[in-house]
Amino acid sequence: MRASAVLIAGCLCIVALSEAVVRIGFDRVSKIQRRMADEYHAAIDASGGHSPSRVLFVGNSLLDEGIQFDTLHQRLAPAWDARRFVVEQTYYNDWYYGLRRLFQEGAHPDVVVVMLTPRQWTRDDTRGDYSAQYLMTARDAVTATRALHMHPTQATSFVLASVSKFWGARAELRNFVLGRAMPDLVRLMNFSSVVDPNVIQDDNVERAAAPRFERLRELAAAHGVTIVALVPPVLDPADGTRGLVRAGERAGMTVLTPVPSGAYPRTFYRDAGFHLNATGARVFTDTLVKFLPGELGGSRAKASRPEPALGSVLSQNDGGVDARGGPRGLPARRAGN
Amino acid sequence: MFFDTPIYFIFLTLIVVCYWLLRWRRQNVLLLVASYVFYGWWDPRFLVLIALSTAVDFYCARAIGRSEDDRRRKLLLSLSLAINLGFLGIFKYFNFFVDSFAAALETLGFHHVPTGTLRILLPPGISFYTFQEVAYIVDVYRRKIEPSDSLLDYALFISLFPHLIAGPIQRPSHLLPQVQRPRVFDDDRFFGGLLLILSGLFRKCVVADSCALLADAVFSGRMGPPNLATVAIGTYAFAWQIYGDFSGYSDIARGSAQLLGFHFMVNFRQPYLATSLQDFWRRWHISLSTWLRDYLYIPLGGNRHGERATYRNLMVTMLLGGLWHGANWTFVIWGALHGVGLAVGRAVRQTFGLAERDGASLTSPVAWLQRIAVFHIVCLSWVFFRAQSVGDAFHLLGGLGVLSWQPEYGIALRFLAMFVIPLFFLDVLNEARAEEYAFERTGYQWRVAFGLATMAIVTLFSANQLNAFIYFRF
Repeated sequence: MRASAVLIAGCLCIVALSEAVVRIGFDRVSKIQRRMADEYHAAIDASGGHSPSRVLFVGNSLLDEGIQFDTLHQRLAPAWDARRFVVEQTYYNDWYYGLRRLFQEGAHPDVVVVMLTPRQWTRDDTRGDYSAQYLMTARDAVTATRALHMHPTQATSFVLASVSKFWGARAELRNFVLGRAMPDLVRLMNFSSVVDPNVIQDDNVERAAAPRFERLRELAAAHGVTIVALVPPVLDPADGTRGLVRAGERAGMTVLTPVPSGAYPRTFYRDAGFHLNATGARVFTDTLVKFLPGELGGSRAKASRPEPALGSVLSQNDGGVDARGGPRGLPARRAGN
Repeated sequence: MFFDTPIYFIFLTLIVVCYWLLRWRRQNVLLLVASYVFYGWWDPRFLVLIALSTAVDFYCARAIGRSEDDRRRKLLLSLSLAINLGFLGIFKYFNFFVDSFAAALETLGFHHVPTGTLRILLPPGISFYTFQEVAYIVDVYRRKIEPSDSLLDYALFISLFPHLIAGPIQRPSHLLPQVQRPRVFDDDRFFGGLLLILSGLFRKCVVADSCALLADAVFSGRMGPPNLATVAIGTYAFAWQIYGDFSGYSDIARGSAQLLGFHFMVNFRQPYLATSLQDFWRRWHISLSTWLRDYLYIPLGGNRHGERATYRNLMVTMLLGGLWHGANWTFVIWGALHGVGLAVGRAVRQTFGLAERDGASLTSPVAWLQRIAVFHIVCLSWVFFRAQSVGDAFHLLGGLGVLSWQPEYGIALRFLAMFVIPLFFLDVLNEARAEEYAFERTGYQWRVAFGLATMAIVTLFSANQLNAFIYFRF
């Protein structure tokens, strides 16, 4: 019995130690975690009603890699104080609850820009346990298990993750350790990344996104915040943006498409046409710098005005694009009011 | 409730604590309630099915036990088998046979065949508990065991939660007496149970779930068009995924049972160290292979009616064994490949007068060559087991003739090696020391140290996703 007791006690100590290590040290040693914690605090600190106006960008790796944020921040200043909060592999549900938590914890920017693809707006899942810990309050985590129709097994893990930092971050912890053991592992993960093979339909996007936009808009309005959706340009022009724009019109939420999907050449992407590479990010950031100030102000003032021609933006900033450059597919536009 | 989730360990802890505070009959009541809660956790509707088949089997077995009339006994046996296998057929195979029939008609030129297929959920573990029920009723019929007098005991024998969903398939002669007698708390068995659970978590959460990342990437085409390298990566990854997954599950099941004072049969004995396919089937999913031998192969005639009948019986047994795994032609082909392999092995031994040996030396180079050959034959069969369709399997195997290399393949192989090599060496160690789990025969201190090291590895390297155990589907 003594051996069993020692083994059980030892296992409990390992679990407790893991919780302590993740709580105390993980955000310090992991670059991603540190970046995220910094951005989270900056987001909480982003209270509006000041001059300059504050805009908070939230999203996933498409935001992280697709926008050179330092450049954007500098070039939007002094009119706008731009901040961002990036959590990889997140979708609509993560950000609905994520924004609820940010607002509850004191974040009060003037405008929130949610940067997700149409497919990510329509996904029904979340990032999982990580979201429960880093994007949700414990109460919202319980609500989310019901709202997202989780199986009881998944739900209990989700709720546990909302209170245990180790349980919520265990995937990141594993990735961190594996990344140290095999620095080139990320290359393999990018090489074999999951691509949703299903064709996305504009009508389905509109149907799914409209009530979500409405819900987000109401949430933001309750805290005096304007919310807009920013669609990142992907290689495939048939990415459902039309459906998203129509959903925005229906729900009264602004949907920004400064660069239509399919407008950039393959060489602007680092993978199969999803994440922009450094060149693509630079061009897209330059476009945003010109596009956003008017649009952000406009979305707040509920005014509309024509956007700059994409082709001219590209040719100005990149010395001309190849044969695929210039406006293609959906014209750059702004939907909503 | 998966074995590798927090809720299972909360559940198990509560049950174990309450269990040892109760007297024997109440322990059985507690375990039956707990087992039905465990099963109903997936979907409470499935409880009706298991309760119904349990009741039918119990009363049929009692009537068979009491009767001296052979005709009546046979009739009751047939009734019980028809109901049990009928449930299995409807819930697991109905759609498969209707779809296959419709496809065959379409091939013959009959288009738009109205199939009217039922779209029904497969109750978890139905293949496992059905086989356990069949074993019970057949053993009672053969008068190998006495029928249980207590419905509670019998229901607990069928539904005891550690084995309910994916085995090991327990023999009535082994488990039922344990249910019917008081269990005695045994320190050593309890401690061994804890170590088995840790071993299972390592196999499942660390090895299998990591290998699954590569296997899934290859079999879903995310590593690009198939070529020799990707086929090798995907197949090796799946071979170790399914081994880690199922042996891990079995370890957790056996460990959980040991915490409650039960003993379950061993389900895996280092299968990838087998030196022949026959040897492989003595080491892989032992509770199924021995069930197939005792309740299918031997009743068919086994090897008692000449060579041709033996080969036929082997093929029938393996084909049905394949189909047992799932309602898909891929599993039938998987079974057929093993049947052919076993038949060829037998023919070679008969022709050259070779004796089948158990436990070939770990230092013999010839034995290692045999192991490598057997492992690759098994890997070939895994392609069919893992593929979504026969077409997908042949598409993947078509890549064997394509030579191509990308730097990412090297990273994938290193990633695979990082998780597979520790398990492989643990297997070699267990084989050399004839142990069920590593360091089984060392002192407590060493075993505690090994258990804690395993726990630390599980904590640090567990893949995070809730990956259902592969055999939960069967």
